[in-house]
Amino acid sequence: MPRCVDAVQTVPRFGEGDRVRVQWRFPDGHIRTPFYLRGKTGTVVRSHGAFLDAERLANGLPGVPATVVYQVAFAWEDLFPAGADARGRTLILADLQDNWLDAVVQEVA
Amino acid sequence: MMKDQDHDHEHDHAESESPGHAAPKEALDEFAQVELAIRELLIERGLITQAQRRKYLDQIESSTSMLGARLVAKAWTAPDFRLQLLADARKAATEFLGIEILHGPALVALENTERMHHVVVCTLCSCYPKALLGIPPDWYKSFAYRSRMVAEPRSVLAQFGTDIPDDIEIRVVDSTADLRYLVIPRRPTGTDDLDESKLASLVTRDSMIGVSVLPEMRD
Amino acid sequence: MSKKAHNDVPADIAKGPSRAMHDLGGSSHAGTLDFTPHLLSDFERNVDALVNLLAKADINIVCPDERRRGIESLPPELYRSLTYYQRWLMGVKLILVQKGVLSDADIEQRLGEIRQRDEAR
Repeated sequence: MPRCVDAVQTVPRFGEGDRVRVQWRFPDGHIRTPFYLRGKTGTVVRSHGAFLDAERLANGLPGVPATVVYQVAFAWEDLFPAGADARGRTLILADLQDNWLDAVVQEVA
Repeated sequence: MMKDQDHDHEHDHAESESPGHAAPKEALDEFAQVELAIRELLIERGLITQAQRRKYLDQIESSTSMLGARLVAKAWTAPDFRLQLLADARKAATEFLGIEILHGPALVALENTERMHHVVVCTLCSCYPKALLGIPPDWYKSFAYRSRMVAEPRSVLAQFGTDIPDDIEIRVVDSTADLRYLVIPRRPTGTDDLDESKLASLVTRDSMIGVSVLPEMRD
Repeated sequence: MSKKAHNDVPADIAKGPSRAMHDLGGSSHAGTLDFTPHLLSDFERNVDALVNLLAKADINIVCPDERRRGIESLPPELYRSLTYYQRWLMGVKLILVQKGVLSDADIEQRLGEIRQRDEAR
């Protein structure tokens, strides 16, 4: 079974530069959205295309419908404000499934 | 994480479930017994075969970071290939190396430049581009690396002896989905005269994970 | 996964923010890095082969995502005390039993035979 499905089957909702917020939720079961990114806002770097849904595959299901996976960049200081490592610019990039992301419509400046 | 438990020593067999008997030196520990039990049952039921197992063991026995290093050296020396690798690393790697990695996870190449340094971690498990870099080192799989690399990247890099100047952006890439990442380290200065295979021999595993940079060559 | 907790409150809300044991990014697990080189033991190679064969496209009995779910279902004390490949083995065993590929009884019986063989040597 190919792990990466044809990108034409699923159209990305977000494009490069879009601001997205990771959902603040804590479901049971196998998920691939790290704890330290929940509720955080980042910027889409790229869409990796459509992949079988890991949350379904983990339960022995076929992994369809496929989901778009995005690479999202977060400013390091937004994730670890108390970090003692601040020096230069640091980004954290992670690959996140579409079902975990919401569009950020309005941001307080 | 506990240290590796190779029960090579005859007195180090506390977990053995055979009561009252000192296990023979070559006896399998509890976990090795479980592996053998599962393996035997799966083979007897025709779900896996001994031949498939031998083939796989041979592969991991022979796997090193040399395939990754060849891709890097090629990207350094062939501008077209560099672009192909950055655009579709799996396709470029499959064509150049002549190996079939199409059924694995997707592959992305990340280029380190004078403005940007990439380093890869998997905070959720231990995702790693094994097809190109071989078996991952223990530290890559350790709780310490997985927890600290995102929270304090500069301190962790310092433990590898790697100091990234403040004017270079650090990008920590958390491998959280079905994509594997290969870092293309910066080509060391002083290597203009080297051919592709010489260059490949300079490229280390750690530099392709992004925890180290390649040293300059001086004569 | 919208599985509901027993008390009918959605699990997400009932549980509140909590970090799973394997989800280590930024956690206080810290510790120092150990750079000791390590060659795989026979046991580790065997587990690596078993687990990866089960995930191979043409075999596809336990895919990597299922195996991860298995590992993540281990009791936290066990997860933390096992070595890397011990976790892989116990995770894949849990899924094999859960899917009915092998039963606990099958495995136990075979383990008994293996121990007898071991002692007879």
